[in-house]
Amino acid sequence: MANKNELLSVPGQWNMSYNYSAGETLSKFLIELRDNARIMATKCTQCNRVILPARSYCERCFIPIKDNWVELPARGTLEAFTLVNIKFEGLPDPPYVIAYIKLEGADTTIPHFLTGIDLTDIQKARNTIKVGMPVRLIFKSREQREGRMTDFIVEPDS
Amino acid sequence: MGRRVAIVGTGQTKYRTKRFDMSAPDMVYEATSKALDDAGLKIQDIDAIIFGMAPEALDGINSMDKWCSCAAAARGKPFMRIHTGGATGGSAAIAAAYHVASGLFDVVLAVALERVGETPDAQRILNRIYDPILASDFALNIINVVAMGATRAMERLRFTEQHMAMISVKNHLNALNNPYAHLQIKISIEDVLKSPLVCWPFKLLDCCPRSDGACAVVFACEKKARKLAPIPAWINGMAAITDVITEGETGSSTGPSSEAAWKAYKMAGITDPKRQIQVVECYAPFSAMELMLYEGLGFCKPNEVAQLAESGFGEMTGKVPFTPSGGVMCSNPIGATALIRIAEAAIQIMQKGEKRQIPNVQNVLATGAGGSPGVVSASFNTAMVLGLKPH
Repeated sequence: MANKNELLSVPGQWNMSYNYSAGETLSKFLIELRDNARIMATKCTQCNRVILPARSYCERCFIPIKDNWVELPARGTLEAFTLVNIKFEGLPDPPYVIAYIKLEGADTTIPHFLTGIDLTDIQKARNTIKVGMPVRLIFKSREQREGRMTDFIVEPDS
Repeated sequence: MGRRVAIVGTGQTKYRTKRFDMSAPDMVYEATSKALDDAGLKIQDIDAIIFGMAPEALDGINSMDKWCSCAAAARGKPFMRIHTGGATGGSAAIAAAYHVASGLFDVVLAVALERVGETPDAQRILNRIYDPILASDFALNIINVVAMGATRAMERLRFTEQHMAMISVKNHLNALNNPYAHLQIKISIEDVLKSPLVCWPFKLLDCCPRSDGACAVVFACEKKARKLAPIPAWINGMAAITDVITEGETGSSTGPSSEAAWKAYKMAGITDPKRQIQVVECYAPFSAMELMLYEGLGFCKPNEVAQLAESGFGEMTGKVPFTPSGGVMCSNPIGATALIRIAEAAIQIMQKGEKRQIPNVQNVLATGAGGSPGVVSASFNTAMVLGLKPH
């Protein structure tokens, strides 16, 4: 028999391409971001919850809400955050801040990077970010917008 | 809830970063045969198999269930795979219990597996569980999303990094008593606080490892259970609660997880968990999650979390020991993790815990959570109450 202490393994790799379809409702939402720099949400006609990013149905009342649009202001509050200090493979170089943002008038939150924070001193930086602090959305120029959540940035609203 | 169901045997592999010494079916075979031995059963005594495995990209093989089915004693029998992220093992156990409770099957095996060690960075893969159009652009993964829930919880429940460190020290100490545990290191509060910052407020030692491993649990009807096990672990309550898929929608309320626990408590006749539950095997891969569960699972009021941690409430000698096994913080083969909670809960009832055994255990709670968003409010939440006596 061969040396039983020798253990073998075989290399493998997953690298496949996809195109993720946004569908009608989300396409409208993303096109509003891109073309008009507007944040449009859908509102449930029964429970009145305002859902952002826009969704075609209310999962609680279980009714279609794809025709009930409301515009939201480009400001809100920071609901939760983290300061990422290590490198994850395939993800951005640290440090960076990720936050859940609740826009004024919305009942749901969106994830985004929180920019405009000085991250040179991590310990200091983490104390300048507070749950509940006001934030604002700043749209990129029309040429830079491509119908994605990255068409705007989020920063503290001082 | 249909017929009475009890756990009559459990089996686990040793958890490690990478099991170079075993193929995936080897691990399933080892956990399964240990569970069969523990229950005193042969392969022909098993009527059906529920198999748990989380996202396939973690293991790098599509539909690994087909590769592992026969290592789980499934040849010639009904077999199905369950996947609810981190709650996979909890859902698999509930499905196995449903099978027995239905009266259609007498003895059912739940087996769960994960090989997280095959890929160098699981968090890159876990970034892909988020909506590719709305969320994955923002570098989300499990560590940073849970960290976000923790920053919010620290605000609401008034606990600090020190309290989180206490939980980590306690779990690492407990893992020294568990021969299957992955991380077996003695650490101090200072070690935790001085370990590298990963995602604020989590330092390295506030976080679970990623593990290879498998776990198997045998579920039996009352008639068989009384014959097979000297002390069967009776499933007196179980519940699964599903919540929204949109990340962050529920912020970080303790809603769904606590809802699942209270539903299971109700079935089991538990009205005062602090008095009636003696051990909790909670699903808490990060230190802050366990603190949040003190409140979420009904062991204290929101303003008492810090005080409870300081009092040593969840320690081995505390009022209600949390994760005598060392918990998820010390072993995390993702799809198997919530089933390990149930196996360890059964071990406590069956008095097979050896060095990690808690004396006089009547009722144990085991929880599971998976599929992201916030900390204790995940997409999928499971709870199971095991008892020394059938309710």
